[in-house]
This record gives sequence, structure tokens and C-alpha cells, in this order.
Amino acid sequence: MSNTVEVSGQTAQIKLSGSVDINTTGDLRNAIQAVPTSVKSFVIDASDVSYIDSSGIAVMLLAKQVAERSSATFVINAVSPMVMKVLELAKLDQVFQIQSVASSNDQKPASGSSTDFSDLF
Amino acid sequence: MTKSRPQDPRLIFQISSKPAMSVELDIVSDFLEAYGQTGRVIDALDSALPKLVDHTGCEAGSFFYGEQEASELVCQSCVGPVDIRGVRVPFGSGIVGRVFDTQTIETVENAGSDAAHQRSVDESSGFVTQNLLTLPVTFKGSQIGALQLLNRATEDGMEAFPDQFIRVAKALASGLALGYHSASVTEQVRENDALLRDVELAGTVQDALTPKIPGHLGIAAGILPYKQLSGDFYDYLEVGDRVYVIEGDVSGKGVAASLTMAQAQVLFRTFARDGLSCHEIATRMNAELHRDLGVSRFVTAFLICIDRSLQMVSCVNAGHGEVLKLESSGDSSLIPSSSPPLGIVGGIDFQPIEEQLAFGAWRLWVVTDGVSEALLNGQEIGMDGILAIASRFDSDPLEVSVSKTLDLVRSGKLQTSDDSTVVVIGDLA
Repeated sequence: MSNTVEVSGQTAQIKLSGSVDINTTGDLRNAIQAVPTSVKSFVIDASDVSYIDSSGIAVMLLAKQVAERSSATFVINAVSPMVMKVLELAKLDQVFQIQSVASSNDQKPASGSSTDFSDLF
Repeated sequence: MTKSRPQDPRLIFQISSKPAMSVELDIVSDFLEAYGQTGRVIDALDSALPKLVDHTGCEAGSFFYGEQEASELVCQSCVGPVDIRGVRVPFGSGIVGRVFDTQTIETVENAGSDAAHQRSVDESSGFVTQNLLTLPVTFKGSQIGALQLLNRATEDGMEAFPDQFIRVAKALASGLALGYHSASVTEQVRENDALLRDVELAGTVQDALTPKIPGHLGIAAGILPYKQLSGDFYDYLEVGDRVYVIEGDVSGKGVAASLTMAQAQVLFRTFARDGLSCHEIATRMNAELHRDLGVSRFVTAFLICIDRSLQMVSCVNAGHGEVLKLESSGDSSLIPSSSPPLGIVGGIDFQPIEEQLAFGAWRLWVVTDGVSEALLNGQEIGMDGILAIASRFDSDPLEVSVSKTLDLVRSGKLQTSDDSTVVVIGDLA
């Protein structure tokens, strides 16, 4: 899966997929910074994200900043439950306007009480 | 103005004086040998090009190197009546520019009739180009330059550049390409070595910034960088009856993250030294980092102030994920983030909430996501795992509980691809 930025008319659609981390966000940052200032609406779709780290969060913040510089609107129209959990834990749900949380198809191994921690010791 | 040199008939004699294949092999092997000895491509070419020019019965030869930054070809080596080293030709200009662009070998039997031929070079040098062979020098499709042989004397009816001459020139062009590629790889290795030394040095500086915490303060901490440089950090500062502690995690990785980490640490020390509350320290650090970092980098942080006179611990969780409070009774609770990470939200919008905890029989476990998101048997341990670890090591001295936790990562029982930091506060009753 890959991350894409598509500009159509005055809208930039940023689609994040799979693992959004330091290894997958380099080109994405360049693409976001290259969005023309004529774009008046930034929309992020993070519904297919299985894992996101701080570099991925930084890319979302960068898109928000680019939108604000162009006086464009910025919205995250969907996030996966994994992304929502990360945003809530870091209180970043206060920073982003999130429209919906996609149904769970989380590919990252989730924590749970079913884990037998006795294997640790 | 110097005129074109009449062809030396002795050169024709030389061609027939030694088996052609042997001479051609000599030219290429001389080049490779000279390159092997000096490691300098142009020195090797300076040695081989005259032999090629002589062998092919040409009046002159030259090599133009493509400087991508300047979009120009520059003559780096030449042999003949005129020294044109340093002459520059824009990409796409002249026959040499055309061959560089198309990467196709060209023979031109009458340069004067080729519209691309740059007469200005001839006019300024006094050389009269009649016929020429131009070969691209490429490595894996990447343009390096172009090799030219000029003014081969021919008898009536003879091809100006027969196939065997093109072959030997091609062989030299290939050697040249290999030499340039090898030089570029060597340069890259040298740069990488320098970079690695810098990273190693930065790692040493970072180690020096990571403090050893005295055992009597009720704080133990440890850090296990995933790679040479860490984006995680912890620090402490004693100010009168107060002890300030911070655990932080900078977004991103590598040198940039380590520089931000150092900046955050300095800010923490500066504001803690002033005896500010955790709320005030977080607010001021946020303002400074917001101004300096932009939004592309941020710092999650858990700040603690242990006040021995008030027998109170206050803390602020700025986007650092949950912190475990484990009572000696076995009861536990989580302290969630009360604000976004430092550096993202500017000004009055940043409002960290300070928690107050009375001294008691409890321990606070503050870990970075390298630990809480580590995998055990393919499953993320989460805060349930941190509770299991904290409970298991609860009877150990603080520093032992920290080292045992990091040992779980070090031994591979917990698998992580991030820096791992553990700070445990407690035994303050």
C-alpha cells in the first residue's frame, strides 16, 4: 500500500495507507509541500492505516500547516481505529478535526488482556 | 591562429607495425593499470588517450565530463595541437552535447556540414575539425560524459572510423565509465564514513547528556536507543527541596531528532532551574519549541516535580501516552495525556493540566512507546503489559526494576523498533 496526494481542482486528497512511518513518509512530505496554493481544501483519508508513528503524525500536522498557509480548509474525513487511538492518547484529537472512525480492520497486532505476560519472565 | 596539423604519415605506419588487437588491449589495460595505481580517472585517461589518438591515426582526442549542476560539458582531458581543457559546452550544444544527450555513438565525416558543429570552439582555438568520432560515456544508463577522436587521416575510399577503432574507443569509454563510477562510489563511501563518525560523535555527546540519577532521590531511569542516536531522553534537576524530572520522546529519528532532544533538555533545565511549576515549565517549553520547530517536529513529554517539603508530586502529561501508577496494594490507575505534545499548539491554546499526588506507597511507571508498543509473541503489550512488568518488579529496588525492564528489550523477549526509555518514581513515603 502507498500514500498518495491527488490534487483535483481546488481539492487535495491525501490518502494514507498501511504503515505510515519514517520509512514511508519522505516522498509524502515533499508531495504535500508541492500542493499549489490555489488549493482551497485539504482532505485526509487515514481509514486504511494499520500503523502510524510520530513521523506519520508529523505529516498530518504538515498538511494542516500547508492548508492554513493557503487559507484552505483542512479535515480528516476518516481514520482507522488504530490512528484514532494514537491521536486520543496524545491528545491530538484536540488538534485535528476528525469526521469519522472507520470500522476496525486494524492490521497491527493489538494489545489485549488475552496476552499471556508470563512468557516475559 | 594555429591551423590544423597535417596528418603525420608515421601514424599510419604504427597501425600496421603491431597487431591491432594487441595495441587496443594495451590501450585499455594501460588505462586500467594507471587508474589502479593512481586512483585518479583523469590521470589514467591522460596516459591512455594519446595512445588511442596515435593508434587510430587521429590528430586529436578529448574527453568532456558532464557537470549536472552547471548543465555543461567541460573538457577534462585532451591531446592534440591545441589544449582545450576547461572549455565548456552547454548540454545539448554541439556534436558532443548531442551525443551526451542521446547516448548514441556518432561518426561525422564532414564536421563543417553538421549544423550542430560548434565553429566557435574551432575559431577560438584555431583547430579545424574535419571528421570526428564521438562516444557517450555512461554507466547503467547514467550520463557521465563523451569521448571524441578528431581528424582521422583517410585514404580515398576508406571509412573515416572503421569498426575496430570504434571498438577500442568504446572499450576505453567503458573503462572511463567504470573509473568514474568507482570514483563516485569511493567518494560516497568517504562521505558516509565521515557521516558515521559524526553520528558516532553525536551519540557520545548524547550519552554525556543522559544523567546518572543519585539513588536517594526516589527516581530511577534508563534508556536503550534503538540505533546510535536516540530521540528519547530523560533528565532531572534538583532545586532546593524540589526535584524535577522529565521523560521525552521527539518525533522522527536520527540526527535531527537528537538535536531537538538536546534543545528540549536545555529548555527543561532552564525553566526548572527557575523553580517553576510543571504547568509553567510545560507551557514555556511548548512556546519555545513551537516557535523553533514548526509543526513538522514535536516532543511528547511527561514532567514531574517532587516537592519534599510539601510531600507532593505534581506532573503534566503532554501527549506522552498513559503513565501507570501502581500502589503497593496492587491497585493501579493510569494518568492520561492532558495536552497535545510540546511544539504543536501555540500560545494560549496550550493548556496542560497538572496532576497532584501525595507521597505514598506507590510507583509511577513512565515509559516511551518503544516499550509500551513493543511486541510479545506478536502482540503489542500496551499498558496491560506495563502493569504486568511493574507488578513483577515491584519489590525490586527502583534501579533494578528499570534495568530488568530494559533487559526484556535487550534480550529480545520484547521486540521493538524504537528507542526504549523507562523512568520509575516511587518509594517516597
